[in-house]
Amino acid sequence: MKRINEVISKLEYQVGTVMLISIVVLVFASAVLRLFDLPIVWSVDASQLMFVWISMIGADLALKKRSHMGVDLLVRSFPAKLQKVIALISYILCGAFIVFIAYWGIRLCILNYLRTYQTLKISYSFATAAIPTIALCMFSSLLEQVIDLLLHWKDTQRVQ
Amino acid sequence: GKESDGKKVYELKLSTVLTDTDPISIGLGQLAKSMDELTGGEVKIEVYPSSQLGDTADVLEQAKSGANVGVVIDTGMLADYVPDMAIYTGPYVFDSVKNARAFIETDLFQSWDAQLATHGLRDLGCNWYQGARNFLTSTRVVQPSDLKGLRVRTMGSKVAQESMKAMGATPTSLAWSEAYSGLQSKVIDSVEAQTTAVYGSSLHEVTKYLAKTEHFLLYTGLVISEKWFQSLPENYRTLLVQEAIKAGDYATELTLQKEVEYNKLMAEKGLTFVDVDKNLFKEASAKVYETMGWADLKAKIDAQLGQ
Amino acid sequence: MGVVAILFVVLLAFNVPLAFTIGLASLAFFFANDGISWIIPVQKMVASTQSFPLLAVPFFVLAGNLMNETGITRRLVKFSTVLTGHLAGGLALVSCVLSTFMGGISGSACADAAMETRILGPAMLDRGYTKGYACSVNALSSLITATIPPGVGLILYGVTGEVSIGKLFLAGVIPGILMCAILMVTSWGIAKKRNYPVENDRPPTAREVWDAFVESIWALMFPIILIVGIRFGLFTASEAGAFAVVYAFFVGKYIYKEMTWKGLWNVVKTTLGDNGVILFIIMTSAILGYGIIYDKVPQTIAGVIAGVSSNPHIIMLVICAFVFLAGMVMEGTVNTLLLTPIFLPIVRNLGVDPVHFGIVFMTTVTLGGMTPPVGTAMYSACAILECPIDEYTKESLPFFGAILIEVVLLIYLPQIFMWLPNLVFG
Ligand code: NA
Ligand code: NA
Repeated sequence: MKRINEVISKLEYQVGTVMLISIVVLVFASAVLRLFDLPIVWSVDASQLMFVWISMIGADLALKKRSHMGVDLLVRSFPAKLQKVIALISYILCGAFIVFIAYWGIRLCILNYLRTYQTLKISYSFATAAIPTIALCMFSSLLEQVIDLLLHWKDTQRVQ
Repeated sequence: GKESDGKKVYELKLSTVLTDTDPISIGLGQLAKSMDELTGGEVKIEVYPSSQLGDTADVLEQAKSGANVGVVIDTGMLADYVPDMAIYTGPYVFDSVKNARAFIETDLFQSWDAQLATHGLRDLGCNWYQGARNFLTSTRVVQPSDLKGLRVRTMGSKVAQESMKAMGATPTSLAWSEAYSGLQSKVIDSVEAQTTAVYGSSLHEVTKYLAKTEHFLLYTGLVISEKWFQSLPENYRTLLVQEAIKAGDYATELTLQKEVEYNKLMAEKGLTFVDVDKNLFKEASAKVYETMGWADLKAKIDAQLGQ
Repeated sequence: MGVVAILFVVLLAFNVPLAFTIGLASLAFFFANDGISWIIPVQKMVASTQSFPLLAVPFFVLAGNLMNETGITRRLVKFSTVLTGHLAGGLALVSCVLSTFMGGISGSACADAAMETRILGPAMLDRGYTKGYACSVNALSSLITATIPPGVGLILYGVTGEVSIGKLFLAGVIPGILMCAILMVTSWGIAKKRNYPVENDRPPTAREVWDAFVESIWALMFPIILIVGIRFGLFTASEAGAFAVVYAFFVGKYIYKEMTWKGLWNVVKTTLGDNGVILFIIMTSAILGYGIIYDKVPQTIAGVIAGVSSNPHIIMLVICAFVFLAGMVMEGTVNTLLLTPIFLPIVRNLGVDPVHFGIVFMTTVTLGGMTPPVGTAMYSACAILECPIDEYTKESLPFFGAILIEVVLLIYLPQIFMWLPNLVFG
């Protein structure tokens, strides 16, 4: 599990980096070229297409680093054992949400592959696909954390 | 449909990106009212203005998936499903609002409707007029050559870009929300848009002239879910189609009135309206139909309408 | 929507990550309504990212991260310390001034909060400020950025409500400066009370100021170049973020020569994560927004509000209170699109100038980004400094008090800022 996630994570960093830098360069270049009357009409659509991908990728990377924030005010005061049970339930719920968006994301990609980006002439499904694709990666990240939680179930010092 | 008080209620939610005071929204409200009256409340239509249910393409997607929704959509956007419908976005495709209205009765248009139905979409009539697009400029424009060197904000589609080039302007793309600041800071020299949008975004504050070229006629259609449409009893289906056409005509009437009213208000605030010889712009932009590969189709439309 | 609200509170209390809490609670709405399309949640998530102005978030987060890596921040902090080091809470005051300065460039409070927390936050913690205070100052002062033109929010309000954007922009100038003053006084008062360290025991000499100024000239020119760029039409407010990134890169790589390729790689990695946290919340909030609109919740509430009173000031206060509550769980863009068409006609009927209302309304809407439990500006600040939300909540109260004073002033004394747009547009 750990090995798989390391590979996914590396891939995500690479794709995310290329896309983020591309967006910056594209938006910058289209503004500069406009001054010379050479507009890049597809820059807005292309940026937005990559935006959904970098945002989902970032969401998974943050999930791996456990940096999605919650409100632990109440849970913090519970005994360690109970905290672990709650953490497990929380993982299951998050997993359910991920499965939901993955399933319907795929359905939506198929339903509407004919919808296109006006200026790109490519299917809008390339944007929609970011949701199910990265959702599967997120599921894998969650799984590793659940295994980690179960392996250290007895260890009351370790609470997430 | 839902059961309530022993009778079946068919609910439909109609969406538009326009605000609730726009003629299109008012027309939709009119449709809701007449359907409510004529069916004794069995067909219940609710109107969601200001993109509340999502932007146009999103709601169209929902309709396609079978949800009980419909949307007022730029006819050209339906080209994803019926490629020929892209011609609606061409410059001077119809000579007048009257011709555009007449076109939806033709066999050609009816065949497009049939194609839409195979994609799960039901067209209730492309007779919702949103106005004609004109150039807003800081210099006086009377003929195509006056557009030379002007950076004009237009839509992102290829046909819009090509039309601008054909008329001599330099097309540029910018988010609509940035049109105001773009004109003010001279990122762009001109915007081409319809009167209601110009007035709604206060663009008259940051520009001097409006050249009445009327190069694009904005014809929108009301498209709903085919699946929901087929769930209606036959008499209600007929009624809905008939009332939707009426409501679209009513909205068109209101739009034409609003155009006059807004133009007057903007003139009072210092915007100068420039009358142009539309034929010059029409001739200049005609080659777009060759570029886009729509020449045959355009000829067919002209023949059907005798224009 | 009742089930959604209950589920939301329960999940939140049990420490389910915020983005998932919002997403899961919203799904309950879809289970409760049959006939609704199941593709909508995913569709809404994608749609929320298809916004060009929203790209300002990753841009300014990246620019902020780059400035840290390239030595720009270090020099800026040094200069600020020379300037305000003899005052209590000097860096907090810098944050307020910087937001005012940034106001002319960035239209997004969220991006501003993210950038300034990234730049100033760590230095604030080094100086012994509590996390809650540091996050509160950086998040709340970003409200200034949204008020001073250009602002994405005001543009959105103007377009939705058909109100003159030029007038709105001019009307925002004075409230923005006023807000800066009020927040500076608040920050200074708290810092003074808590004895946050005074780094210099005397005010700086002219020579010291000049030397620090020269050393950080590239950093200080950064906002000026952007302002000039926008004013002269080189780029738009949304594109400014990309310019900020390129500029920070250029200065770090070729002028300060402090940035390495490895450093750049790290900066991008951090940015991806920061952006992902913020955007994932925006994405799931879009699902919630759909349910709220579908059930016509805002219209119901508008009906109640219109019945409360016929005094325009009272109605505006009630609307602000409502918008404040809505802002606790909803995103600003969604609130603007949703609530403008509902509230504007109510106040218009009572004779309120739509420009006046716009400033009051948008201040409150934008403030929603700073209120717990859901707020993008708050979240950006807290995520970067790893500050628990409850700590932020406690420490932000005095700042909310300060903004309340500002809002009441704006409601009751429109003449203090309305003279500017009236002067220009007549
Ligand atoms: Na600040
Ligand atoms: Na601003």
